[in-house]
Amino acid sequence: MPPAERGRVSGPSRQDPKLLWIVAAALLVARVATGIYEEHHPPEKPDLVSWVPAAAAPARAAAVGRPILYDFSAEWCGPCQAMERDVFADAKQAATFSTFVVPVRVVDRRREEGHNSAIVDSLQRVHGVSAFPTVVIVGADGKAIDRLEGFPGAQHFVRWVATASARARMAPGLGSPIPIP
Amino acid sequence: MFPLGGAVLMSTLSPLAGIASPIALILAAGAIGQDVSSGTLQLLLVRPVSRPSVVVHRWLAATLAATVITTMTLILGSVALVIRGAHPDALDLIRMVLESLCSAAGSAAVMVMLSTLVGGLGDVALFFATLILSQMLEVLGTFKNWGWLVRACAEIHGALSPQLSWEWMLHGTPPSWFALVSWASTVSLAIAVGIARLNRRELSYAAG
Repeated sequence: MPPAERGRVSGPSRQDPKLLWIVAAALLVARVATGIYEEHHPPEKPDLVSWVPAAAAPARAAAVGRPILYDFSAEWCGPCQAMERDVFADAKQAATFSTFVVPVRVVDRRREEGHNSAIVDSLQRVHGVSAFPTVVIVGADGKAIDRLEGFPGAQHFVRWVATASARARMAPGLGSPIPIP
Repeated sequence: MFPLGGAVLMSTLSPLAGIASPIALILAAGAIGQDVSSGTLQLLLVRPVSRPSVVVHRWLAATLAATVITTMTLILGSVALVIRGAHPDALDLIRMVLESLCSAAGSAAVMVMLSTLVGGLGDVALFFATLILSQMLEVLGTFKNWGWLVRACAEIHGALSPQLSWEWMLHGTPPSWFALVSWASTVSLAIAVGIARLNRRELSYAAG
């Protein structure tokens, strides 16, 4: 009897990958199930934007030559959560967004704590915030250049930020001209 | 080379993040189809080699090669950044290597599967035809406000180049199980379909 050839395959050479089919089918079922589950319970996504404290924002804006963006939001606000998920937690959109502005988050805590901090109250009053989310782009002299109420979708939002920040750089009469980064 | 230049100019490794998928597509293009057309596979299969093992090994080879090339490029980019005074984050580098591995495995699996369906480099044509058609349908869906069509096209894009984000690793948040299962499902289905198709394929020197 000849010695067994090294690497010889025993059994049919066209063996159907039954185990692989079972795994693939199980994963397909799990895909549909997790898809439905995450549709109703979206997973927590990390915020990829480096938010600057409100008090430090003017100095930072002057240093990097970008306008300040105030994001007025609240924890209970649905569109704010959509904006968080689609823009601030999305690597590409967050990176694009961060190149145009110095971002400052101003979170309303009246519903949770009964009152806001003095700086949040002051910023809300100055910019006439009456709904969430409200986003205001402010030049180096503290004057509002443009504002947006509601969340129009990630691409539209980032495009608006780019346009408004470009206007902020070109706006006449600002205290100090903001150089293009 | 262009992404590497971009990384050095922008002082960040981000431009290198997406190179694994196209490299895997190039390496896996025609993996089975070209061997069928040239008659190499027919010769190979007279040896004690099973058809499923050919598919699996072609997939593993393309995945491994694409991952090694991407990792070397990432290391080169990191060295260039260190020389320029920037210090890339080690954890971020590990994340990019893991994402490259997943992208390479996904794209190679899809390309090997397509390669079992058509001869020669027909898999490349099939890949781009599907991609372009789905993009056109997505534009139509967006224009007509057909959410179901836009969603279907997004799923096709995801199936053509399966990717898995490891961003959660850096932020200590739980991973998206849907993303994880979707990636694993696409890869396993692509390999299973590829094996099933090659098993049923009639191979002769006239085939191709």
